Amino acid sequence: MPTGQGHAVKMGIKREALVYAPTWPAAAPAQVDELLPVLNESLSQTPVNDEDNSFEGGIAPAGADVIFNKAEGRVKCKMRYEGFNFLIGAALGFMDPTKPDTVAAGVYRHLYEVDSELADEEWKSGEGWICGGGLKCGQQKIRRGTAAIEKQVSVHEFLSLMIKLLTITGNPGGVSIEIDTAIHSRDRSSAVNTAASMAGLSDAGAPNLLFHEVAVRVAPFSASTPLGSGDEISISEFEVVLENPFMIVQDSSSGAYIAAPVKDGETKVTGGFTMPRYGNDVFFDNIDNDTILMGNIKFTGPEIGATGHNYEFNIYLPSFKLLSVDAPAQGPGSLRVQHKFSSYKPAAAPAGFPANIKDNHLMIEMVNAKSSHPLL
Amino acid sequence: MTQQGFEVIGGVGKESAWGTGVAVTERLPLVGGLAIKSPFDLLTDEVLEGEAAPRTPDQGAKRISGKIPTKMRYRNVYLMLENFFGAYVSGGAPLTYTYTMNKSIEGKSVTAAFEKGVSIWEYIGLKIRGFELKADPKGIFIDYDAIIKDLLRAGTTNDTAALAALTDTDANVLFDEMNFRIGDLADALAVGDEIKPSSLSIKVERKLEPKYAGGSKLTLEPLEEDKRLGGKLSFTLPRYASNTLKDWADANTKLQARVYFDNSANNLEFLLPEITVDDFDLPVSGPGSLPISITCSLGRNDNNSNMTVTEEIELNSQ
Repeated sequence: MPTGQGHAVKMGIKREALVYAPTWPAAAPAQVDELLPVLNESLSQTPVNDEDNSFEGGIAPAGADVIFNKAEGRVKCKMRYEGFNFLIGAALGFMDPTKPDTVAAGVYRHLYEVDSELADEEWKSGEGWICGGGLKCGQQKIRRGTAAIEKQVSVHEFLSLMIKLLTITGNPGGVSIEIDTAIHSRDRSSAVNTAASMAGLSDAGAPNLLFHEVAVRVAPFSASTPLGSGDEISISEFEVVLENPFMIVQDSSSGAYIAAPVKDGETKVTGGFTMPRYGNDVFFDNIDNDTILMGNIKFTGPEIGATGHNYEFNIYLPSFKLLSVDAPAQGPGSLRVQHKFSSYKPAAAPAGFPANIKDNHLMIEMVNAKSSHPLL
Repeated sequence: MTQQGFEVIGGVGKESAWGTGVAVTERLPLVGGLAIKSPFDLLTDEVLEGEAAPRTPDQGAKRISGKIPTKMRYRNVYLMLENFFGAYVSGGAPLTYTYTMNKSIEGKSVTAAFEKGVSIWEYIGLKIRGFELKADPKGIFIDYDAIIKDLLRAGTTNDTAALAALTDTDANVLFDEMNFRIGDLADALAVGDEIKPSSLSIKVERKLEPKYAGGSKLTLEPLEEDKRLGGKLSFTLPRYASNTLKDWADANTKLQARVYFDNSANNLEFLLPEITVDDFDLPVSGPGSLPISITCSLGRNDNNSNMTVTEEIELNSQ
């Protein structure tokens, strides 16, 4: 029997089937067909035992019963220009069903927006389509997937995984994306994701996002003046965090597993960035004056094939405020300025931002060679 | 076209803005050992994808730094020294130059260009983060430690003709023209404080470090990330003839020193207002003389009223 080695691990996540009457969990796992560039993961299922504390005349407790199976964990990946359409779509929850836009032959622009709910639900009119207009009425949005991890001894399959936290970080060492998950259950003897099916997966060769490809622009919010090159700032690291506040409960219908997670509050978008040198007081003035800002973090990668168009990954923050700005003198070196922010729904459409459907405090735009809508 | 080392010509020019290349105006008296490296960080593949062999690494930050060794001449390349010291005043008749240490050399940089035959290697945004003056009977040299923004091998600012037109006729500084004085702070250095080392070096550093930000593989302007720790005066006395230096070392006595070169037409004077002896080494390595190796740390002038120098070193030349 082979021994589990980290470098031999393969992992993928695939959206579960679109059906008119979806169930929780999915009626069947999805077979993963694309590798995730995993750096580390900690997906697991842990039983919760009900210790028997009754008095029965003996010092040793009676055996405990398993009352709940807790499946959850984190996955951290190297961020690439392709391979993350479903992950981003599942975390934010929405893309106009008429998208992606075709930029050119083989080049597609995806725009992901924050949805009010991530549980299974129908596509609504007013979400960019007309019932019968190419989209089947009653078709459901599915923001959950099956994850499978080949660990050599067995394939660990996680059914109905949903994303409760998405963190994108970047610094000169690289750009990564980490998800924290809520999962229904784990199966180590799945007939769908097997050693044979995982063996066929290989690195598709998508380029990595590199920190020197980024341009960051921040300016006071404006509905008339778009961000421009004069708004570029120099940062040495950034982080953007999307938190879906799931209500994770076990109810009488879900057995020993969680019920379908539903949002229990507003989706929070927060983050931070560091400027390597303290060169001006602009952001100190912004926080003192309670200025509303808008910004974007845009990566432009290599050319997509021979199309003349480049890969792009663009995080839009339509309206945010600084929560803290600090330039502590921690030693004899440069003073680094650390900023934390929280993003909010904009009062109006920010100038120059892509047209969107939802009232958004975060949008993520991706230009790559994927022509399919990951949520349809 | 191949080129030999003796055919290399180097020159420097003062930039008005860090990293914006300029035409070189002064010849560098290069000696062998020019060693500027310009590697890229390699971002290795840490991804778990079922493969034991990694992907080809991506290219990360470009890090350019290295040594520029030169012969010490009386009218040495003032641009290199000004770049390091930060402040440079010239004037008087005969023409004198005074180099004083600024707290920071933010905004100061030179362009250095080297004719290498196949192409001209042009280093822009070059900052000097240290120098080492080395003196012994074989000659006097000054090595510069440089940290640099970028290397251009197809630049258009400096060409073969421009480098060839630079002249270099200054006199070398010679070891027999050196006069070295060291003493306590009780009074000004005088003839009685002279000693004759068989070798001597002065090393001063600025802790300039590169910093990288999103959107570029090149560093931001390197700035001082620490105090100027590590300044040293080192010298070797050929014979053990006195315990004075050892007594000073044991008592941690604050001293002052002057390294002076004079060829009657020009002179160079390094003033070190406050130093202490770190190390006094007297090995018996054989039947011959017992040479003494001494290392001193440089400090700013807090206690020496005999010199008007405020920082740990000042250079005057004429």
